[in-house]
Amino acid sequence: MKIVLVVEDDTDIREMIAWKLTQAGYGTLCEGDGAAGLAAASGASDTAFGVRPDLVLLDWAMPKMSGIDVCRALRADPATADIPVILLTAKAQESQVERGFAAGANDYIIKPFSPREMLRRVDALLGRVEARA
Amino acid sequence: MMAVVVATGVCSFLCGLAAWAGVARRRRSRLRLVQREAAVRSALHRALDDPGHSTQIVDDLVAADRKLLEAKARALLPALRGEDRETLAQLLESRGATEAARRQCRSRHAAARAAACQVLGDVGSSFAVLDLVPLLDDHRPVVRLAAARALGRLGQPTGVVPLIGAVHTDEGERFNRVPVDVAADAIQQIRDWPVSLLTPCLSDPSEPTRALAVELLGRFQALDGVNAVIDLLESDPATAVRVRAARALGRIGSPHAVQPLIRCVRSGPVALRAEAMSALGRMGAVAAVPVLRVTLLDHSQRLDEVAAHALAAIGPQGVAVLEDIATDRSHPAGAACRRAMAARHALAAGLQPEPSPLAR
Repeated sequence: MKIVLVVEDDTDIREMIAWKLTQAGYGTLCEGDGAAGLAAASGASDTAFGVRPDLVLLDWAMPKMSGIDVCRALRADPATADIPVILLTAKAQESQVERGFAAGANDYIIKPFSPREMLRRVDALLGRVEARA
Repeated sequence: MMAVVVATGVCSFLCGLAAWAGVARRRRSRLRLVQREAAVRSALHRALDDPGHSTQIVDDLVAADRKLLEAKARALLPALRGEDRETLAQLLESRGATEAARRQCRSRHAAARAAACQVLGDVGSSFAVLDLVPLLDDHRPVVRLAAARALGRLGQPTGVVPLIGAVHTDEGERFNRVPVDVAADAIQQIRDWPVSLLTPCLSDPSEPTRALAVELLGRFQALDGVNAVIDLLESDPATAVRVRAARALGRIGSPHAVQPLIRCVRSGPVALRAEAMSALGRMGAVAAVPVLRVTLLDHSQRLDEVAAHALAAIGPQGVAVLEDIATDRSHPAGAACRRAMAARHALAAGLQPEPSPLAR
């Protein structure tokens, strides 16, 4: 089973995404801030139990550490550099999208978002990663 | 003496016990709330997955949990689009949220009217336009803004004309009812309406109406409207409209706009010169490099920062000019050049650039 780490500070959105992913057959890990998300991505948090996620769904604006900083830190660490990252954010300006990709995101979903489309993007990204491997 | 000691001990013990009981009670109630929220969230997810039985799922909850579910659904709604949003909206509609909001539109309290706008914008059907449009004339700004934003979220094409009308000012009026940027943000969210609606607005006697039209043409990158926007850039009596026209041309990115923008950089109000430079940078207009270099070296109007950022945005030809000046440490524009190059590198690396005059 593929594991998706959901890092989002809004509990209702986070739980809804986790529910949708679970319904689609994915395992989920959930964190509510950037620092905890980074720890979970490297399998070092209490909730991760040493499990390394196959994909990270990352909000941009979060307490403690922004999604962009988390993304950059993931790319800088050889242990997590290859984990695909999808940024999920309300920041829709062209320059912001560019910044997201420059920080190392593989895909970008703008809020308001369609959960169904989000699932398709997760499927597609994981499919591409699997095909490459 | 002994009795006093015993009494003090007993009192301390009772106080400690009461404090402990209070802490335990608060912890229990927090835990109960977390459990309730989890149960309500689960019901909401089931309702989303099974729209046919969503009413039944909600009805199975106790009254207090139903209220909590409605609050959660309302909070979730602005983050969603697509089928799930439709399901949530229908669920709230079936719980009477729209009817309650329509009644609330007539409340004496401005906060209640603004809250009603929010609900109608998130949940309402196309008929909600009829409830929201009159509130664009509300005597309280907070309600007018809420109504404009709600019309945008509602996304009904019938909301476009009232929103354009809401920025209109008659002669002698000092303020428009809804700010241009709020109306532009709202209209930008509405799809499937003809951009040709904006054409008559470009020659409207009201300055905010012209500003809104030109702003929207830029946001929609309407290539068809480029000549009309160039006309406004060159001849509109209001500087604010000309500034927006320059920004719009930068967004549209037509090569026809390069020379008119260069003319604005050479002569014009400072705000217009700055915006024209930003637009040329955004367009990557290599033809503007000489005039930007002249402006960069002219320290009189403090436009060197904007000129430097525009040159950096243009690309290698602009960067060559910046490098040339930045190497001279004593040059007055050297610092601006170095900052612009640093911002360009930061942007390329995905780092937060320094606040740039180009940033909007």
